[in-house]
Amino acid sequence: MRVDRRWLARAGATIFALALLYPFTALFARIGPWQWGEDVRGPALSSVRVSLLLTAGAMVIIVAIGTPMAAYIARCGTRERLLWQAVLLVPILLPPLALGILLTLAFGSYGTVGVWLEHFGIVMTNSAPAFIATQVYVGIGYYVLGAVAAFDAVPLMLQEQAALLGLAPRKVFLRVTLPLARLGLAVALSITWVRAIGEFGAVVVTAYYPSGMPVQLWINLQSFGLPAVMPLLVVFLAAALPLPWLVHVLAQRRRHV
Amino acid sequence: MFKAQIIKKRRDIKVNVSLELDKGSSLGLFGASGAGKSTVLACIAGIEEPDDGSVKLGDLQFFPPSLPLHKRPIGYLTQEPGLFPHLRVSENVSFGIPKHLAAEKEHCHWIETLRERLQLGPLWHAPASLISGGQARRVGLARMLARKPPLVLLDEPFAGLDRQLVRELIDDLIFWSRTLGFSMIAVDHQAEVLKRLCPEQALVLENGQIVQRGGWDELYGTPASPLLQSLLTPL
Amino acid sequence: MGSLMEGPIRSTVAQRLNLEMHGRAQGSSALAQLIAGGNIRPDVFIPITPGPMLTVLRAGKGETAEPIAHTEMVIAYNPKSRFAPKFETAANGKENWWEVLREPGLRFGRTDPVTDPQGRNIIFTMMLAAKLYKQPDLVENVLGPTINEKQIFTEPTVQARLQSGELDAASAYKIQPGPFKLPYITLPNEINLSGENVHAHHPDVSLSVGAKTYKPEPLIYYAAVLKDAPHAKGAVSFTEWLKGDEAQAIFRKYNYDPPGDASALHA
Repeated sequence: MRVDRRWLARAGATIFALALLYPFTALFARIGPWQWGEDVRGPALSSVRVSLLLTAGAMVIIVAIGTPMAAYIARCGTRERLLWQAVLLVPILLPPLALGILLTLAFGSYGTVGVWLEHFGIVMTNSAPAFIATQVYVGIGYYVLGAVAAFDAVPLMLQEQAALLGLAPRKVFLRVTLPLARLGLAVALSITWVRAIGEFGAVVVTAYYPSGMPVQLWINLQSFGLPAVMPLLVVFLAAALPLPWLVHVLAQRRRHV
Repeated sequence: MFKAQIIKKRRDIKVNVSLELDKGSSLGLFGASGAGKSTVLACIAGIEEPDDGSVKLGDLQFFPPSLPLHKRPIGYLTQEPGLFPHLRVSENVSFGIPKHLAAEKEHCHWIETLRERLQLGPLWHAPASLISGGQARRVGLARMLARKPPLVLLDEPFAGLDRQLVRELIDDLIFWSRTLGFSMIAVDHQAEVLKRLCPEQALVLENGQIVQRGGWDELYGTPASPLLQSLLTPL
Repeated sequence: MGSLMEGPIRSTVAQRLNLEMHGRAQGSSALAQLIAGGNIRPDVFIPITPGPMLTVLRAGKGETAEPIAHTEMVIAYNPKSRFAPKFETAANGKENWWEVLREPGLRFGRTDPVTDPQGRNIIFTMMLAAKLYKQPDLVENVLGPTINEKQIFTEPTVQARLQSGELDAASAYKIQPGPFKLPYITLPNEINLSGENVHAHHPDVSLSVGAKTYKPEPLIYYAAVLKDAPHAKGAVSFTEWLKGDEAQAIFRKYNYDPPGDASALHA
């Protein structure tokens, strides 16, 4: 009997998909009717707003700092690159809780930068700046590493040609490298978004307020129980998923040379 | 006047080549694969850096110290057309032209000429990623000539093209080198192509060193080495 | 309670009862919800205050709970804080602790009243203090609004910040500052929630937060063997042992007070 290889592969892939999505069957668990009354809805929607707005703010900072940083690293020689890879990996390898504690101490009132920031009235505890700063530290390593890969994928030859056609390095970056790396950068950004918006361990330490979705899930569990956790979970997926999914779909469609 | 001495150590050979070129003339670099011809061109272009020597175009010193690529007024064409895939053919051709020149009538006329002569009309608005290999080479040629560089470097840009196309492109290049007055250094390991493109003189490289310098008649008549002779003999 | 359980209790139980004990420490409310919802199936549940225990019992996950210890509210402070000398004077009774807490620039930490009993208990303590010392705006002056974003952190964060000096003082149960070697101020029995009948004596003291209303609850630790405990026999002998002299001696060493005549809880 000849077994069709393709059919076998598809079956395996289906099993993988089912296993991956299996935890979501818990949404149908018998825990009683879901709570979505005013007391739950108010803080939940507020947490969605906080997460979406402040994470977007963190993304802006990450792109603004991370893109030129990645462009620099992409031009480095092998030895310097190894150093940069270590530097970028350190904050993201740290368990989030540990990172949160370090951020608290470093940006707190006795940390060097903390004192200086408080002069300008910027409080780095339980505030929007603390929330955004934590997300930047949690996510920027992912973005820069992905962006370096995106820039690496732009053929050197094209950049050399552009230079030989009279374009200064800055113009080569803007007119050749960046446009050709654009989709790789977008994928790196979507991964960073997914990572940052779900961040709990570090944010719960540095910025319990304003409460984002992960912290609100934690609060709902403790004060209302599971019936108030499930609806927020669904809302979380609905709010956080579209952006990265869209980016991946676009990346598939427009494949350049 | 273009003067260059290129000394560069590669893994297998040491390249030591010196050459001189009058304005408007052409020079062919001939030799077997791996002789160091492409290395010489790459060092003149600035894509590779020589270990020692000097490169000077008129009053402009390319090396030493190494002049940034975008300040070297040269054109460089290789087997890979290197078109920008995210731009259209028309945008590729005008790529090297500064914005303030692009609108001038004289310049527009020049682009028109290139477009017609290289038969780029039907492709003009196509994305560069969608055209064929032969078409891409023609676009690459147009892109290079759009800037009217005083020195043109060619590294086997006709490899893999059909004879008729090669003939046309060579004739175009010679036509323009006369009308625009640029100097040309070409590399090829096919003698008949190089002879047609650079009929005046040629340099023969073997293992990074020049073994013969002179007109084509000399090369054919009294080849300096058995290798050279075998390279010149038809299959 | 973590260090007590993971340390001497676990080793003694291993020797004495031949039982291997594994503990999971978390806020009482969160654990109660996880147990009531069937997400975790421990053998024994030991919360503080009756609230979380009643949640579990009423969800049918247990039948009775016995009191095993009790504690009281204190104010812990960092000995390197610039307010430390004042706190020391207050600890000796020569100054009013609540006046020190009102000092401008003093950073006070507490936990979330929405989710944590301790977060509510410090507010009750301040309300009772306001009555005792006849300081009507004491709560407002020391704690600010119920949800004061400058003061509220998760419990481990409060401890970390107090240790590092980010906070000058924090609310605590008497058993908490010991393991961290932090000094604390004891509060008068009228306000430290150690008594069982606070609510009966002060029916006017209540707190509305997170869509619920709370009354002060005694700070009693209860232990219950849970229904469908995977190791029922061991669970029973463990809880029995906790009430005995040997366990109680260990509790004393860690600053836990005896349960006194607190009564058991039923579903």
